[in-house]
Amino acid sequence: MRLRIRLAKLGLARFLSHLDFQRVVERGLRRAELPLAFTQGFNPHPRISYASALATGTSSEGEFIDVDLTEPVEPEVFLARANAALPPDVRLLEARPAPEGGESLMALINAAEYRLRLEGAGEAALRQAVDRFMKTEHVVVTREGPSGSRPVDIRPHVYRLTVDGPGELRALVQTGSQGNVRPEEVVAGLRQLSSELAEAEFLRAHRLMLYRRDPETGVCAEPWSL
Amino acid sequence: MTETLRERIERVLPRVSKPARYTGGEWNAVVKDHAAVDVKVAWTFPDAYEVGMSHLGSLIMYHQINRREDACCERAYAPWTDMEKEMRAEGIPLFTLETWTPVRDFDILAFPLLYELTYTNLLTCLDLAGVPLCAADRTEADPLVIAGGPCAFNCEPLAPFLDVAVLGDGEEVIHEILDTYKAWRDEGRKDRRELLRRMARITGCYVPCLYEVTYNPDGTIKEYRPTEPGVPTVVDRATVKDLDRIDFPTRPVVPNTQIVFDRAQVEVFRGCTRGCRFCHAGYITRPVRERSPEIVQRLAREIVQNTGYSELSLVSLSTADYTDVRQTVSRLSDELQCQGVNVTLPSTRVDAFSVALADAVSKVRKGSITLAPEGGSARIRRVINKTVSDRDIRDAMRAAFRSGYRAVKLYFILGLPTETDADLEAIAEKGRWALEIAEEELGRQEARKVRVTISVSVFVPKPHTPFQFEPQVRLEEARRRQEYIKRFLKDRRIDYKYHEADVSHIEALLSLGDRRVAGAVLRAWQMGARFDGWNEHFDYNLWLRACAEAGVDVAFYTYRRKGYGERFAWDHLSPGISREWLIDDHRRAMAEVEVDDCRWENCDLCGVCMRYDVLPTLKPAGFVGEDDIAVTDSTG
Repeated sequence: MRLRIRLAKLGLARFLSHLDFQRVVERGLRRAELPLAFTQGFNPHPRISYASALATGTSSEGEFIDVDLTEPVEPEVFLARANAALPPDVRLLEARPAPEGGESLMALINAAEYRLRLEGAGEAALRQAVDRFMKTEHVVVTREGPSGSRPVDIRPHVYRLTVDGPGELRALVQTGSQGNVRPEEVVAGLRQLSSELAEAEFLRAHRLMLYRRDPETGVCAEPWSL
Repeated sequence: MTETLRERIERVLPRVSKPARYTGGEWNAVVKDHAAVDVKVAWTFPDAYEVGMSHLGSLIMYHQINRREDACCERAYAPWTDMEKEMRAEGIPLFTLETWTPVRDFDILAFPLLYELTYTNLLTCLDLAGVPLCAADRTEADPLVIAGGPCAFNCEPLAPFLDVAVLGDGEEVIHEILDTYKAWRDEGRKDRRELLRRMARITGCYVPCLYEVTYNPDGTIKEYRPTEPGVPTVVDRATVKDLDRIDFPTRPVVPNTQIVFDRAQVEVFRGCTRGCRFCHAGYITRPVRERSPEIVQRLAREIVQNTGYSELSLVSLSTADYTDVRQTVSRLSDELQCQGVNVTLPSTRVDAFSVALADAVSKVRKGSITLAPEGGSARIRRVINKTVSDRDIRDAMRAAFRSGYRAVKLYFILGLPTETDADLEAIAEKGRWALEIAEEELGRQEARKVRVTISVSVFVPKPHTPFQFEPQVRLEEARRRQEYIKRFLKDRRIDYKYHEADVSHIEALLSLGDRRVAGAVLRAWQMGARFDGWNEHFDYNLWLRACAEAGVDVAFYTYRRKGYGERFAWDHLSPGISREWLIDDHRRAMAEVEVDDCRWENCDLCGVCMRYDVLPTLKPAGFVGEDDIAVTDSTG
């Protein structure tokens, strides 16, 4: 049996790297004494697959994993037992049986929604910058990579960008194997378009949800039924 | 609205490397209400989180303190240099991970001392905590600063900074320390010196400021004299007599981020009487005290259950020597395998039995196996009493290749007493042996894939060992010897590694130093020395400048041969071995005579058992079961 689970990485746990997060989740599920299915081979590990890596420093309530089990467990029972064995800042929020024969989570996911918080950004200035951003065809920012930095046009991969309140943005961007727009790149793009935002401090990014976005229609589906 | 300490910490974390070092929130971390406890201890590890969290002794002591209802223990670690900079810029004091409480607000600051090159980090921690560096400047309002661990047996280079150093096993003495502190505090927290006086009366507790040191005209020590009545002339170590009666942590803190030893650990025995003459641990932890196999197995099961670790390590100074090692390993291995947990042994003794044992538990793909002959030639192994024969080494190599290993790591020490170039050539020869044996066992074709690593460290004479009288090899000579070995290693399958000799030189200074060396530690720290045990931070020239400014002659401490009659800085800090025995053993070393292990052979009268009324305790298996793993003593 395979369960699909939505998790949250909250509070100080946002400073865990993706590798650390995986370690914490695996150890928690081991402690919970759930009937985990293990990989074969010399170094058996529970079969847990992740939808997408989350950047260190970003919190989330929209992480997804698939967990293979050797016998059926009621989703509510699974959540209760796992949460009792996990640190308080790592929470399992929702569990449902994973669809039969579907694609892997990693292959499915291609979009992520974030909430971004900026300090020292007036709401009017923010709205104006967002408006310009969405009307522009190209927003080129510098992407830092392991082999140096290079310019990238993020505009085509930012699907939606709105102002949610004072200093608060919501962004739907590309994520996954085809490409990844990072929250700080969206903020960097906005700064380019508005001198008033130059002084604003980018405080936090929080991932809200992961989606399968249809490139034709732009319709986004949560990973449950895919 | 003023920012809370936690908010300030959160604000700097995005700017530092590995922020998970500072967040806490780990599974099994103990968070207590400070208002509900009498004594608060900040266990402050003077190295990075990933090193400190790997230290079993710290996990044991955390448990010992927290199991008391009237006490709490929280953890702090030396911040990495980027974090230190941020903390200073933002005015963030050293804080504990459990509750983000400033370390200064605790009653006791406890530092484990495992490695001399963490001493400057200890000063960083005190300074960031806002505690006066020098014990003499502290008042009744400051926490009590204590330190323990192996380096406490010569903590003189830290003497001015410590209120109390604790010698020996900490599990029982810590309770005396906490009770004594409580009593003093309940009486109104008056007169810090009175607290220190009371501490000095506890067996295992050394209070440096209660001793006066005088020196001879030649710079050697004349005398250590207690300055007050009731203060012992020689401080005896604290000794746990029976490990089975000691509570072992079955709910250790599980790190969220990667640490050095990221696995469950059960200590199977303490002490080692093999008598390797260079080994500090082998003399300060005598005699061997084993934990019963049934208890080891119960602890292992509980720890795996409570942590979720996928690896369990049976630890000690030489686990293959554990009396019931075969059955314990075999039972645990069988039992834990179905939970996806591997059993591992931390080190491999150099013989075929140990290789077979390592092989039997190794469920992971055959990586490399590490063997430590320590000395290249049979002659020098007699000098250092590393009682493995050339045949043992060959058998171990053969067993390793037969059981599927394709990489062998060989550890040696360079600069050992009496060493000649012939001994160095013998180190290189062991690399060639490994390749020859690989070809015999695997054929020429397969043997091409074999990798042999020869790793050579520089000998550091340690206090309380028979080699405490010996000088360290001079730096330039150590470097010549490192290069000399290289000449004999031509095969590209041999990877030759050696440790930086200048790091070992400063380690020797801090190992063998006396109170006067404290000035150099302080000066080096003021000049910016941090994380000296890390190659990327160590600065030899900085240390030389610091020593020069502090008037410390490094050669006097490190390059000088000491007489049998010389008074050492650590003679009043006793692990129980008599000076006479160490002299005899040094003479035996020079005569290339080995001593037996008192576990299996005659007692050599080192004196520890008699002095501390403690006996070697071996806990054999109850019976030999059919589930014994197939381990053969000979390679047949």
